[in-house]
Parts: sequence; structure tokens; C-alpha cells
Amino acid sequence: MKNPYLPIEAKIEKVIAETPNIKTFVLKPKEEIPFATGQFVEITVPGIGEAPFTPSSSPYLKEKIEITIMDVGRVTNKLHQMAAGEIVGIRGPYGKGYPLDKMYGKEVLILGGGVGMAPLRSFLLALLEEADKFKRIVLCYGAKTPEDIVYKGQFVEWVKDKNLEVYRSVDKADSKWKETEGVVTVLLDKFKMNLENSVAIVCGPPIMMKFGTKRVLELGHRPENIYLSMEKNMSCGVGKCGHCALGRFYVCKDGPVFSYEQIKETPEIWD
Amino acid sequence: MIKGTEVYYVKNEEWQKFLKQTLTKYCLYAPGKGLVEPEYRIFGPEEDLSQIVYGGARTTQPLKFFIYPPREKVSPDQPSSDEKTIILGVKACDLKALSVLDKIFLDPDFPDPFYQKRRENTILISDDCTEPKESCFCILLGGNPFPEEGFDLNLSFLPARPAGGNKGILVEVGSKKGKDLLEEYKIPLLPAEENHLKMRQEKREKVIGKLKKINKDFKFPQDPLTLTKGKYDSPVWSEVSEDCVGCAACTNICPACHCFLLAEVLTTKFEKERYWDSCQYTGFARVAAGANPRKKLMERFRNRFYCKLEHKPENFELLACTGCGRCIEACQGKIDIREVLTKVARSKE
Ligand SMILES: Cc1cc2nc3c(=O)[nH]c(=O)nc-3n(C[C@H](O)[C@H](O)[C@H](O)COP(=O)(O)OP(=O)(O)OC[C@H]3O[C@@H](n4cnc5c(N)ncnc54)[C@H](O)[C@@H]3O)c2cc1C
Ligand code: SF4
Ligand code: SF4
Ligand code: FES
Repeated sequence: MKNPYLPIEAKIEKVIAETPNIKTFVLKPKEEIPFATGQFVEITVPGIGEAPFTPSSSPYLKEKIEITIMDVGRVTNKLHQMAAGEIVGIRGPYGKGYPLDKMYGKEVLILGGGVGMAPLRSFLLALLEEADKFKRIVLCYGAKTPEDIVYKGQFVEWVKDKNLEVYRSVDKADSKWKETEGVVTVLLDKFKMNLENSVAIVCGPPIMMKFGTKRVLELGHRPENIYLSMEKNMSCGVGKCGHCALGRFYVCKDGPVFSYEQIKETPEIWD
Repeated sequence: MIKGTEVYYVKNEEWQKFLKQTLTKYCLYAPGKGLVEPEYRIFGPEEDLSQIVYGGARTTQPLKFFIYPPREKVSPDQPSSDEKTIILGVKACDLKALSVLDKIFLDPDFPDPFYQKRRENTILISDDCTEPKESCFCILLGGNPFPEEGFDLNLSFLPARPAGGNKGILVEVGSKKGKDLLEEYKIPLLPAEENHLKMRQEKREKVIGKLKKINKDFKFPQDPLTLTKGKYDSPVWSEVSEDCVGCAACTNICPACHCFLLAEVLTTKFEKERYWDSCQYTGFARVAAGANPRKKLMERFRNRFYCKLEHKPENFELLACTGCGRCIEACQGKIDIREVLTKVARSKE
């Protein structure tokens, strides 16, 4: 019988510093962990604790898994002190990812903020793998300052990619910043989408999720075509411990990706 | 689990003999005469089985203790114990609660192997309630004080006829596991007669009458779903949670609460324990950087009711309150869930 609480070992192959408080960890698990983009895994730091993260790498990349982690507390603190060669635990994948099949032939808007770009990078890489299946892909990303932007190198490539339109903003620009200054939602006024045939994917810190979703709705995107990645406290990851409850749902099992339509009547969604 | 349809008549002394025989293979837990009230204890092969208390009401300790212990190492270990257990004297309310835990822990996507193994190795022998407590209110939530499903065997003691003569037991078979146990020890089974069933029915109705009397002051809709709907923002929640201190006694003692924390043991070998947690604790839903969807005590208090009366029924068609009344006895603030439900039912929006 499979024990859902038991992690397998994964070796940290490489640590990439993205911003002053965000790092990407390239992990090589003992066994492959095939996942659908948007699903999450639980990472154990032995003797310290466990926390949920969404892989930021492409689901097409099999033998390795990349996790982009912001240093915010006990477990993430410890992770940030770890280096290549060290061992962590990993279990998963869990939950429901992005329903790519519902997005074929559509215009796809990706709205991300801060470390919320982690699952969105995985999602974007999955889209680009079969870019011809989508009508259009627009990426809007916001960070606090230019320094806080993740995947800086990869953005250079994305800007050149014909399949992709990229807009970026920072809350507070510096002298070198030539793009937009302001909250990420201002980027949404820079282009028009065919709302009859579009989906919007939103992921970021709670406040950005709230206002991002609100703005996307105002622009006319339909609740059933807006997908949100919900972050709730988690412990087991497998629908038993009750920590991640969001109304009648367990985010770990019924999510973490929900359509806005699914949860719009649920209290506490933005808290 | 199949609904019991086979009922046999067994003589009391045959039952005692049978139970004694099972002890060579099974570990038996049953309510035994306690300091105040009968409580579960273990009965070994040398023990006096006449100390077992049949009937009465539910014990203080909920059934979940046996299948889902308060604290258990779940990694890297696999479930090991093959100990076969009989739990005797389980009441209807706890069987109902166990069906909620089954939904969670035996979810086919991720069955919990520890729970599953114990569940498989446990035989549940329930019996009818005969003396409901002041806190019992199963009948207000659509339940009955006698088991209807979820047991392997159920016992109903019949009055001695003629008075002073032989006592008999109606044994209802609720599962193959129960049937197999009867056959394994070749207990003499007699067909249940019409008048046996009638006696059982009369006894049961008497108990329902007692429960009605106990609960005459409480009034809320039989279908609790209609009770909480649309009342989420009602000021009634602040009122009813006024005396709550957030100690979590109510969820710990509740046979249907399943929440836990999967916690890391301080070693390097991926050792993990899962131990009971409670939605009543401040940090239960707190996320990184301190954000917390249920900061206020009232919000956590309310959560318990929505979990039990709305979300579990929506997800599993099962109420996660069985009316066992344990939380009433356990509450330091003397909060009576029946009063809460009555007030919520009376409140407008
Ligand atoms: C599905 C999902 C995907 C995620 N993906 C990513 C990602 O890709 N990248 C990323 O950076 N983050 C991600 N997160 C967020 C990440 O899981 C959290 O940042 C992480 O759990 C923080 O852990 P910590 O121990 O470092 O933080 P802490 O703030 O120390 O602890 C967080 C946890 O411990 C509990 N806790 C802390 N103190 C107490 C206390 N005193 N009492 C009780 N409980 C306490 C909190 O309630 C919380 O559960 C994701 C979250 C979810 C749910
Ligand atoms: S009432 Fe609270 S502790 Fe009990 S099952 Fe529901 S969320 Fe868990
Ligand atoms: S909520 Fe109270 S009355 Fe209901 S099952 Fe739990 S302990 Fe019993
Ligand atoms: S994290 Fe345990 S139920 Fe979702």
C-alpha cells in the first residue's frame, strides 16, 4: 500500500538566485515525478518541516523538477540556506492543475505578480511547447522593483518569442527601468483581447489576486474562463488534514487551480 | 458495508462463551465498569467478562481513538501491526461518525494506509442505547439511538421472559466480517421470532421517548442544511460564540472531526507524525507572512458549524455531527450545541 505521507529523496542539483529573497532550486528526485502544470508538490526539509510549492519548470522536463521559492518563514528560510548536493524530500504531485484542453484555440492572458510567476512559468512553458494550439499568448507580470523580477534571463528570450506578447511593470522603478511603472493591473489597459474567446490565468500574492481578478472581471472576462491558483495553509496535501479548507473545497485536492466561477460564492477566498 | 438484514436470537450464556473464545485471537475493547461511568478498557483472556457494560449510552471516549489515534508516526514507517481487534459496545452515533472518517481516510485517491489497516483489522460490535445521557440528541439530527448500518454485528438485549428466566440477545449481522466471526466460533444461532423483533422495537421506542423528553426545549430543522444557509454573516455567530475560549475540546472529543497536523520529527530521516489538530486554534489556517482567513475566534467557531452542517453534507451527503453530545460535556464555556443550533435557527440573516 502506498504511503501518501512518505517523501522520496531529491538532490539539490543547483541553486539559482533570482532576486534578493527568491531562489530557484533544481531538484533531481530519486524517481521521476511526472506532473501536470499547476499541480503542486510537498518539499520536506528533514527535521525542519514541509511546505507546498508548485514546480516552476516545464512539465515536459522529466528527470528534473525546478521549484522557485521565496524566503518567508521557517521552512523557506532553511531551504534558502541549502546548497547544491544537499538532500530534501519530495512527495506529490497533488491537486488539479491548469485545464490546458479547455484553452486550445483561445487567447490566453497570464497575469502574474512576484513569486506567483513560479507556477505561471511552468504553465507558460507548457503553452509554448505547443504554441500553435493557442490563438494568442499574452504575459503580464509585475514585481515590486526591477531587482525583484524573477527569471530575468528567461524574460529576455520570451520578449523575442513571436508566439508571446510580454508586458511588465514594477511598483517602483529605478533609473534604468524603461517599461511600465505601477501596479500590474495597469498593464491590462495596454491591449485588447477577444473576450468571446479568451481565458485569463491569475497568480500572485493575495492582494494582487484580489485586485487582478477584479480588474479582469471588469474588463469583461467571464468567471468560468478565469483561473486562479489559490494559496491556503496546507499540511497533508492529500485532502485529509483539513487545513486548506476553502468553503466546501479542499484546495489541495479540488485545487489549487480553480475557475473563479467555482469559488466566487465562497467566503474567505482572498484572506 | 451492507445494511443488516439477518437477525438471530442468541442465548445470553452462549454469547458469553462465544466472546470468551474470541479472546484467543482478538484483542477486545469494551465499556467496563468505571469510576463514574462505563468507559472503554481492554479485556484480556483472564479478565472477567461480566464487567462489560452492555447498553447504556455512548462512552466519553469517541470511537475514533481506536482507528485514528491522537498521535501516530506515519513516515517513514509503514503500518505494521496485524493485531485483530474487536470493539464492543459501539453506539449508533459513533458508527455514523466513523462513516465520515471513512470518506476522508479511505478516499480512493489517497487512502491512509494506517487508518485502512486498522479499519480492516477491527470488528465493530455495536449495541442499542438504553439510557441516553442528558447531552444526547441524535434524534434531532435524523439519527436513531440504535445502529442501522456501519456495524459488523449489533446486539439488542431482550428482557427475560418469563421474568427471572433466560436473557436473550438479538444479534443483527451487518457485514460479512460479522457473519464470519459468528461462524468461526460456531455460536448457536436461533431464528429471531416475530415477538423478539417486537420486543426490540418496543425497547427502542422507549429510548426514543426518553430522548424526546431530554430534548424538548431544543428546536431546529431536521435538515440542518437549511439551518446555516444564508446565515454566514448573521450577528448570531458572535452571540453564540461569546463563551468560547478556543480550547478545541469540542473538536478533540468529537467522533467526526478528522483534522490533523502532519509534523516533522526532529531527525534527518523524513520522520513524520500526524496528530490531531483543530480548526479552533488560531494558527490552523494561517499562511506564510501571517495572513489568516480566520483570525477571529468567532470565525473559527463558525467554521466548525459550517464544516459539519454544510460542507460535509455537500461533499459526502453526511452530517459531521451525529448528536452524541460529547462537545456539550467537554465545553468549559458550557456551550450547548443544541442551544447554538436553536439560536441559529431562530436568527434571521
Ligand atoms: C499550492 C501552493 C503552491 C505554492 N507554491 C509556491 C511557490 O511556488 N513558491 C513559493 O515561494 N511559495 C509557494 N507557496 C507558498 C509556500 O508554501 C509558503 O510560502 C510556505 O509554506 C511558507 O513556509 P515557511 O515555513 O517558510 O513559512 P512560515 O510562515 O514560517 O510557516 C508557514 C506555515 O507554518 C504555520 N505557522 C507558522 N507559525 C506558526 C505558529 N506560531 N503556530 C502555528 N502555525 C504556524 C503557518 O500557518 C503556515 O502553515 C505555495 C503554497 C501553496 C498552498
Ligand atoms: S469542525 Fe474543524 S476540526 Fe472538525 S473536521 Fe471540521 S474543520 Fe476539522
Ligand atoms: S459536534 Fe458535538 S454532538 Fe456533534 S458529533 Fe461532534 S461531539 Fe458529538
Ligand atoms: S492540505 Fe490537508 S486537506 Fe488539504
